[in-house]
Amino acid sequence: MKSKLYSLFLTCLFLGFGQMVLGQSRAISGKITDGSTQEPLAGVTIQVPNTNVGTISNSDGSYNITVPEGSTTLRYSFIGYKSLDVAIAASNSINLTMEEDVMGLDMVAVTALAVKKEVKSLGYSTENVSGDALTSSGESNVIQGLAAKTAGVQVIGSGGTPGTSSKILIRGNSSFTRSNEPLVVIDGVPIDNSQGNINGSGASDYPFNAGLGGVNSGNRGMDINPDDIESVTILKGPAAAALYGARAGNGAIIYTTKRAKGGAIKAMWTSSVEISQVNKLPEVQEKYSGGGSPSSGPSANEVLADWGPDGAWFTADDVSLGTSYSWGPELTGAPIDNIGNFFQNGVSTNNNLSLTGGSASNSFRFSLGRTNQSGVIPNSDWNRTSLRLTANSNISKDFKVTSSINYVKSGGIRVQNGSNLAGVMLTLMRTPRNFDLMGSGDDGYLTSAGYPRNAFYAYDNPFYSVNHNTNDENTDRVMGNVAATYSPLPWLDITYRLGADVYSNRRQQRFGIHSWQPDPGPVGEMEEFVNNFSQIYGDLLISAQKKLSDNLQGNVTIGNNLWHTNSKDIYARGRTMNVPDFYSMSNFTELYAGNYEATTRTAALFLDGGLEYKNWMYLNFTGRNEWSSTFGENQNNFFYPSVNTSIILTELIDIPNLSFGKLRLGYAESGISPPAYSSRSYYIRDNFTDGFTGGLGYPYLGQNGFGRSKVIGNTDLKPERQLGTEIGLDLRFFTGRLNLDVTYYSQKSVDILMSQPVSASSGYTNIYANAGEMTNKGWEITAGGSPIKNDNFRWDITATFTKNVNEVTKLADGVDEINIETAFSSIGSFAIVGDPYGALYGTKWKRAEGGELLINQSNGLPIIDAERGNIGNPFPDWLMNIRNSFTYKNFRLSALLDIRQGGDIWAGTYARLTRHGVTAITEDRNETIVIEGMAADAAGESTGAANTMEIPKWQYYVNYLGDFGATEQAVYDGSWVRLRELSISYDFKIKSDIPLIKALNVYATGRNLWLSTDYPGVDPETSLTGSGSNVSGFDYFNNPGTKSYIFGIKVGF
Amino acid sequence: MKTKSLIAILTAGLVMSGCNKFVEDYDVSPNSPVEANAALLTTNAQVALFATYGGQLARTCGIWTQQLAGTDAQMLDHEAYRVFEGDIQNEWDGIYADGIETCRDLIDNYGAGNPHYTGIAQVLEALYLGVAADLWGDVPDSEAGKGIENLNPGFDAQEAVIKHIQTLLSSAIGNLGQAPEANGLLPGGDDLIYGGDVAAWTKAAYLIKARYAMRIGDAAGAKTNLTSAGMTGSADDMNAQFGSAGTELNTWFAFETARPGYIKMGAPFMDAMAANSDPRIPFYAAVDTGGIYRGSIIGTGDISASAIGSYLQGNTLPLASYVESKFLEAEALFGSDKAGAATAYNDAVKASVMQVTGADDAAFEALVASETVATITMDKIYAQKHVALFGQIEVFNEWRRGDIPALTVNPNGSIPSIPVRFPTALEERLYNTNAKVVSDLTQKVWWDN
Repeated sequence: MKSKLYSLFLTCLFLGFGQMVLGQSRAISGKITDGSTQEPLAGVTIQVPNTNVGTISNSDGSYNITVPEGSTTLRYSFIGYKSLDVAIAASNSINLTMEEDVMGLDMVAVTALAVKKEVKSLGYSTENVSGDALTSSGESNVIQGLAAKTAGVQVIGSGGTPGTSSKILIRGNSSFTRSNEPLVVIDGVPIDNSQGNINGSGASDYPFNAGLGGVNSGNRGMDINPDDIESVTILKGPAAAALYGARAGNGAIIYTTKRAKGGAIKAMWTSSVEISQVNKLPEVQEKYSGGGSPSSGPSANEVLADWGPDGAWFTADDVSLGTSYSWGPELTGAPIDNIGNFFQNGVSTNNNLSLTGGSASNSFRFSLGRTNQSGVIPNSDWNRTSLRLTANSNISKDFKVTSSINYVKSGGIRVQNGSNLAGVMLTLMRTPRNFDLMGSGDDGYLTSAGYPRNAFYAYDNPFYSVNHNTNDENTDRVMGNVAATYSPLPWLDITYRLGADVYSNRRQQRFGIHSWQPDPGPVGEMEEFVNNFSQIYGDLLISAQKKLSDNLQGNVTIGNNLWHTNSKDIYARGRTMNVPDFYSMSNFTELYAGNYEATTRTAALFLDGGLEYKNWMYLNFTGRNEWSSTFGENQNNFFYPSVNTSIILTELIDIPNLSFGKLRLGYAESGISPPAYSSRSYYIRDNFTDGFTGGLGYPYLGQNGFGRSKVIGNTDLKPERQLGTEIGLDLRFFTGRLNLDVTYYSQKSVDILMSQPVSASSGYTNIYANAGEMTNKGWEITAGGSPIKNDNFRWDITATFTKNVNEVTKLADGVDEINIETAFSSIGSFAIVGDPYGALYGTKWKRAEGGELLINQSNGLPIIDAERGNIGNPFPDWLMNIRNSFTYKNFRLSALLDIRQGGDIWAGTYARLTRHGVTAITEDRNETIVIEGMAADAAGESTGAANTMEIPKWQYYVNYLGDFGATEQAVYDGSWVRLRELSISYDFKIKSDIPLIKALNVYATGRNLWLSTDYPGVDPETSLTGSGSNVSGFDYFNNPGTKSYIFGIKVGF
Repeated sequence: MKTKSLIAILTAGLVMSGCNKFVEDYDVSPNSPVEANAALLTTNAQVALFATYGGQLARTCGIWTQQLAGTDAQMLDHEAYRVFEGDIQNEWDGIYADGIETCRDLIDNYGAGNPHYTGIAQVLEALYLGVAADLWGDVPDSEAGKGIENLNPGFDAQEAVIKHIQTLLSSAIGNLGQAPEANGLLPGGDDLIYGGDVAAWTKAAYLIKARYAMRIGDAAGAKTNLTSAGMTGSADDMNAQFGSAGTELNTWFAFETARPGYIKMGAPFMDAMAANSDPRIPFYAAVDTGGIYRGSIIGTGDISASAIGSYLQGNTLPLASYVESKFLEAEALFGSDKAGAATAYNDAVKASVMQVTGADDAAFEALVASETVATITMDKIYAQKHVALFGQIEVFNEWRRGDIPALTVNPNGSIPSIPVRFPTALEERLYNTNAKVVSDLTQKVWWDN
């Protein structure tokens, strides 16, 4: 079956690049000017409708186009201007003026299943981001490029390390344990945007959440070259995305790539270079050396790791194993700047070359993109090479084929992160200021005997880590699609679209023979991981549109969709290296292997219809019935309806100064599919843990064993459902000089999948069931305008505001809180009834009735409550961004301000560093302090008197601000105001008489140049667990974020 | 028009069935089987048993009977009787979801035509039910392990569970006695305990019958079963088996390695053995930081005291032993035949010394294992059984039954007396509407009243 699908796909693909048909033709030329300013208009698309013949006007507004015989009209279109159709008369010269479409009423949006619709007809809010806006901040990841550009969307980056993941949430979280990320679609075909298919891979003998340590892998959307993107449409709620059924529960992001254009071959080259630097780190003290400990406090004995003259650890001449504590005496020399020595300037380059051209009926676009990034952390990099060929072919008058194929090779060396003895930040930040990690010379981080210069014996030297504990990832990926449209009648189109996304992702993790990260200690380890993913997607769409009466027009599309995905991974691990630094499985004593495979299939029938009444009322409805292999066998198909309406108020009533007004109303249902294979009960190779040891498992004395999985398969399993209502107003005043778009939505997620606990005496501990409920309600506001607009100067301002309020309203019967994913013992991420999803969950201070801390009178420290609880919401109260653009003649200046209010972060790094005496505040450690609160009696109850007990300040740092205190204390507000983007560009309006060069633009952009936040750690735009996890707001030795300076040039030939 | 509608309906029908066909058969995982076999389940039931009898329950029982002392972290809480409903969830899950579930699955789905496998599974199930009933009193049995059919199993009275243990074992003995030819499949290496030796299994089954007869004071029943068991030496012992790979480490060794300092020897136990110059001391205990054998005084959390020694950390741990059978015999005969009781007692102590130390110790035997019809007492039997069964959950059961040795309550204890049961598991309380919840650790189980 699979191979048949592939061959069908390939056949169709070649068809797209097929026949070149040429006929008689004539040349038409002319000049286009702006109707109001009389300035020449560059970049206008001139096309013969229903063909691929087209060209773009030059910077002086002139154009030349060769039209095929029989052509009757030319269509002139340009973003922001009203399109014009002009009849071709006898003359071979057509000059014209175009009028600005100040209100964008002609705008067309790509909706679900790549169906194009007029924006004014839509009863739900859509967000459009142009390709230029996507790349304006210099991001190489098409997900990160959406940060702070739209309302209703939150992008959570993972810091400034090359190739890390960006997570995107639309209107908050809607699922507990399934992905909360939207579907990503390119040219009508979904692609995989997971953080690698790590489902079931890795070692089954590793009982912890791999996301908390290790490396942060990227989301696979990063394989897409942003330079290939023409525009992005974000389908935010169920109303917009319902046609994607059980994969639309989190909305969808629809990328449309730049299309082929006929005419003479044109080339465009863009090139940029980017310098990046660490933008924020926790402040560290400059005064004290290594020594002491959090339990005994400051010490007068300086501790400095010293492996003795032989340069080897754990030999008789070892002088000191070192320390990770900076509670030692005052430094005798200058503090050593290990942090400054370690981080470097990251340098990245980005080059793109694209060619477009073709004949009357066949056209192409070819692009080659290469991105090289090196990070602020030594030996970290990420590279991408992308080749894309897009072709349009009009095989006959009524048969058209478009196709696109994209090959991407991406990969790089990732950096150890988080809770990890090889973690760069963990070991670097904890190093006392009297120890030099770098040494001198290229491999000065090694001792004379080749051991790493560890500041504390059990932590890897970060220089050693980046050179020896490497994680090398490589991906080869092919994405392609082909769509054939047959139009037998003027009102009927039949389209089949077939797409594939196939990749192989390979990762090799090494741990040098002196690394402490492998489980049994420094023995050397190697892991090999291979994931092969393939997805085949096919849509049949039969569309008809007809005028039903003078006032009523209707359109309908029916179709079907088939979707097949397969992911297969193989994992192998070698432990205990024999020959040092030789990485082949043959060189390891203990081997482990595992594999995992998952195939899912869905099939669907759908309907998409619309009615337009008298140009002022639009009614749209969709329905999709979907069958999925992941639904339980009791009901394997479900129906998803949607209905929405758009009413053009200004067609009905006249309101002064209101040029355009539209009311939107929509209701829809969409879903989130259960994971593969959860509808049945299986046998598993179990292990028996007791919470203290690794427990017993298999192989056991040469035997294997199987027992029933403790999770009962559920034959009633069905998709989660998002029920969404939205209402919106789109108002444009003063012919578009002031615009306001407001949306209120209320979404309810029901039947949320969760592992519902059951009593073990039933023989099982859980049943995977549709049990939870959650609501998201919020506002999305976009306001904009052009306060100043004249011939030479223009000021545009756009602001967006996003507020989402989430509440978990129901878990399974008898269940009030569940753990979303296993996390740290000190802090978890929970769903709690009555609280927002993803609550930070940890220890709290015990408090008196008035909320004061209760202070233990034997040590002067606050008492930690026996019960853990909700200690913070990692999701922001609201987000706002403001873009100001100023255009003066050829100059353009643009600034994007990004404001996030709220969003708690567990500053695990800061709390641990404070406990270790590293943070700057600990410099006054020898003073004393009285912790404000009520004195507590022996039973821990308030005595009614205020605490007066004076304690040494180091105690306060260790046991109150440090993480020996309640975890609650380490949760900080992650609000920020940042200048996400500041860009200046100059456009050389090239006259057409200059040979070769047709357009030239130079620019300089700064990203994150300014950041204001009270958060005491790294840049609060950070994520420990990345996009593949539902845990949010954790910062535990996360790698830092960056600011960058980008210089670029765009040249058109 | 009619034809048109018909065509439309037929087409729609075809398309729908096509959609269904496209997705069906892709719902079965290629990663995990939906069926297993008797051998895989037998190994699983046994490994889970080793985890149950050698894991946290045994550690807590050792701490409460003061053979051991909890000296750090969570074990300090156990020593102070702060063992709450969430703390024993893993162990409860192990007994029911791993143990009993696997045994019943084997018997119900893979037992037909395989009486030896069935018999082994029945003995294992009896051991799981036994530990549940001994530590928790009334527990799910007749309604347990039914999965989706019954998510709220009712609790059976402890008396009924013990009766069920007896019938299970009788049935096991019948099954184990079947001729090899009556079996489709025969256990072998997958039977980690006895390697498929059904005669050994039969002896163990009788011994466990005797254990539960004696538990409810049925001396005659115990005597009969011990005669049938006919154990002749420690070679007959039913032992948990461990190995050297990471997945098969001795549970005490793994704990001592991963959590050094959490558990030390208990002073009352060490002092009692020292009073008799017990030769088992250097095997039961390691030397302390000062090079001597010394337990941690209960309530002091003395992490410099002696750690557990090599005996508990070896490749085998007794689940039911010849030594135990001799102590049971001594007790069973005590009321009717004191001379026989004395002989059985002396044999039990000698066998224990031999089993632990590998040698006889004449001086010790002269002092402790030379009882006669005149000198034998139940207190002596209980006291030496307490020492001989070091590290086993049975120590806690027998201490509750005989109240020997006399123990002093931890002065820092959270309750005024030593616990005599375990609390109902948290998730049983939350998710089983039929649970009989007891969180008071001082509430005695039925046979202890």
